[in-house]
Amino acid sequence: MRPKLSLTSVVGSVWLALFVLACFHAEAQTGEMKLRAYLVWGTDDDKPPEGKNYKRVETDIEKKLKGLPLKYKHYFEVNRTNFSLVTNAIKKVPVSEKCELEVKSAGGPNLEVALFGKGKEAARQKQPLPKDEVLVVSGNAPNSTAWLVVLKRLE
Amino acid sequence: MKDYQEQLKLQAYLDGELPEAEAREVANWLAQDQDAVALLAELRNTRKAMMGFEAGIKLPESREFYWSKIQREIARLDVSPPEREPAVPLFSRLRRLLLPMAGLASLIIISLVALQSQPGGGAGTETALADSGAFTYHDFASGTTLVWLSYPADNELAMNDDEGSLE
Repeated sequence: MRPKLSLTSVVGSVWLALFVLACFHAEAQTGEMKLRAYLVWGTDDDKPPEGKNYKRVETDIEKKLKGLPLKYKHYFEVNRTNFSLVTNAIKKVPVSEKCELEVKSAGGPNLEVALFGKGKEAARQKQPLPKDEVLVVSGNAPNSTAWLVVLKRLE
Repeated sequence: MKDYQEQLKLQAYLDGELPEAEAREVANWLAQDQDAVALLAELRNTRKAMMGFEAGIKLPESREFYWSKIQREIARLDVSPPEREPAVPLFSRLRRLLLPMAGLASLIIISLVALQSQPGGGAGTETALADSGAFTYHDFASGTTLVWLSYPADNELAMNDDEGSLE
């Protein structure tokens, strides 16, 4: 025999579902965020500078960079730094001798990222950064090349 | 047995309440109908018997006032008491409250989830740049944001000083 669905059980189920959703939502708001910062060199040369053993950037990053309105044909990874953040935590991530990122988790997928060059703040960006999305802060480098700081959210 | 109207007419005849023409008709009728005569005799006897037993009760107020009191009482009893709303059980009242609340909560949760799952998220994007020539570009398809700084050019930021290389 098929049991009847009473209004009480329906309302109860809705509340239970909402409670579970709220728990997941709260967990998502307070969870740890894993990030990776890359320092990338953009150039038209198909080889890194002599004496440097830079590798080409990962395929997914390269694909994203080539989708941007930048003129460079090749992108080489200079270094990378993995780090994690909990909600409202601030982390300083050095990307080169002169440059560092200050990354703050602002709740949920939201990040506040500041780029410092020689100790001076050059840019500050506040935005959501869902998983697998990237934030690129970049500028000109000598010989028609570019430097790019790529921040990718891993989890 | 005479019908009710005929009985009433005989009673009225006995009481002398009929007009002359009708009284004459009833007299003719009595001359022909023995049953009517018998009934008239019975009515007469009954009246005689009752006349000796009149209680002779007198009303303390006027007849009109007495009947108006009865009329008012009848009118008062005729007014039906206002219908009371049936008592609503606590559970039913809770259910009435919970249903719209559950709907509202569902809408809020769905909106929150939708905002969170939007590409680029639901929160706004803010950019503060020290460089007036800088620009920001967002590619929604690939989920990529580019902040391009026009200054400081060359060896200022990520670059090291040695021969323009990065590191």
